[in-house]
Amino acid sequence: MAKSGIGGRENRLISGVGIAVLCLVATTLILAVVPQNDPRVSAVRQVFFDAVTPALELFGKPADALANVGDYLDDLNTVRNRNRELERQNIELRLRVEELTRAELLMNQYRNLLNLPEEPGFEMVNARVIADLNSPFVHTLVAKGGRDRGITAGQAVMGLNGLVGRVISSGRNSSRILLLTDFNSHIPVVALSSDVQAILSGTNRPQPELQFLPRQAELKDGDLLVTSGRGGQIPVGLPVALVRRDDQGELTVRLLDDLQSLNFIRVVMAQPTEDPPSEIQPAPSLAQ
Amino acid sequence: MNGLKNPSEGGSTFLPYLLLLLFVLLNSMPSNVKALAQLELGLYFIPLFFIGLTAESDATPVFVALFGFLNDILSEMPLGFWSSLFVVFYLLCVSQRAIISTGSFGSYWITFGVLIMMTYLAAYLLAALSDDLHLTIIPFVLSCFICILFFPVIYFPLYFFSDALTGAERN
Repeated sequence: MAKSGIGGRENRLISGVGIAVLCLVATTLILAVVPQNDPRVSAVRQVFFDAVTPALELFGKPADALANVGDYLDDLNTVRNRNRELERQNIELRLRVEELTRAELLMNQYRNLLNLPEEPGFEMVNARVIADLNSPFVHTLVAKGGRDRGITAGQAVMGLNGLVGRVISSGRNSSRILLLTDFNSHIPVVALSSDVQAILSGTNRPQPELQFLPRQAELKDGDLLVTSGRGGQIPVGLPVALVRRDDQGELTVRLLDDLQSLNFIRVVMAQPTEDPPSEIQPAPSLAQ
Repeated sequence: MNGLKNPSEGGSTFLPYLLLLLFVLLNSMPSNVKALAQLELGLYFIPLFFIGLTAESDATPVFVALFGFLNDILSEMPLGFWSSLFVVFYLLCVSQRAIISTGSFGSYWITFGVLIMMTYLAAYLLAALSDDLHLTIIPFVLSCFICILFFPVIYFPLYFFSDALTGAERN
């Protein structure tokens, strides 16, 4: 049956099936021994994505071309309707800008009166999604752009409208992003209207859920959840999701962006806050 | 289609491996189709089925395991997850060689269906044993059935192209 085997065709030490069984034992051992969040595995993965980024980009081109063809096929009527809708939105946004300018002015006056420190501003870097690793097991993305553009692990990642995840590792020219819907994602959030704090945790389903919500918390339908900045990893005040009440009266959350159709992301370039020094310093003799 | 030739007569080309690589890479591509985003279609199991029935080299399981590692890396799964499942699926296919070697296309399809269900069940059990993995069951089961439905679409061209290439090599 086998053309070539270890030890030659006649004097085979091990059959093809035997080699397969050995491979199975080896892979199972690797699965049992190497943890999923092992930093060395993560580093290997990142190096690999850095290397295959051009190939992944090339593979994505046909899909992009197809999407462009779809855009061309939009008829004139659709374009006209969209234009009308955009004009309406433009008027609304101008009014909103006026309101925000006034609010900003007032906020600066209040800040001066209360002598509050300035919140650090942050820049955003746009990056293109080149691989979408969503599956029933994990919800992650790979974006083009890494250390070459200042992207580092821990930075918050925004979609068009709100937070979508955070960078878990960055290589030379690519970075891996853990989405808010992933089982391992836990983001501290606060409801804008009621100041209720909670943790937004991924469940590997299309929408995450709120955990550690205080029992007497009163969240209303339509409340906006923003990042609370607790933990110092993600800046405060980034919009994340809206609170919704379903037909059974249960509280659910709806993310501001559709994570399954992200083509571009914005990485928030704020650096995580450093931990304060410990109050209890080890004695010099113990420290040595 | 009454019956297929003995697969061991053909398919010694690189084509199934190329298709396996293609499906592993396609699995990680961004998709704007919402229904697909949650699925783990596992179309790479179809060329793997072909390899399992036709490959004659003893090095095949090693290549299969390497493709599994590639899938582990690309799909952010723990190292060894897909590679062990790929080897399990390969072994299951090898065990069926003698049984379905002269069977009809229907028997190939049914065999693939049974083997893929066993492999997905093994994947489910592996995920259940891991603390870091949380599996959403409905998309997973759906992925398995869609993969079975796609079998003829991929297996037929693969079979005929591979057979034609092997024939050309022989001539």
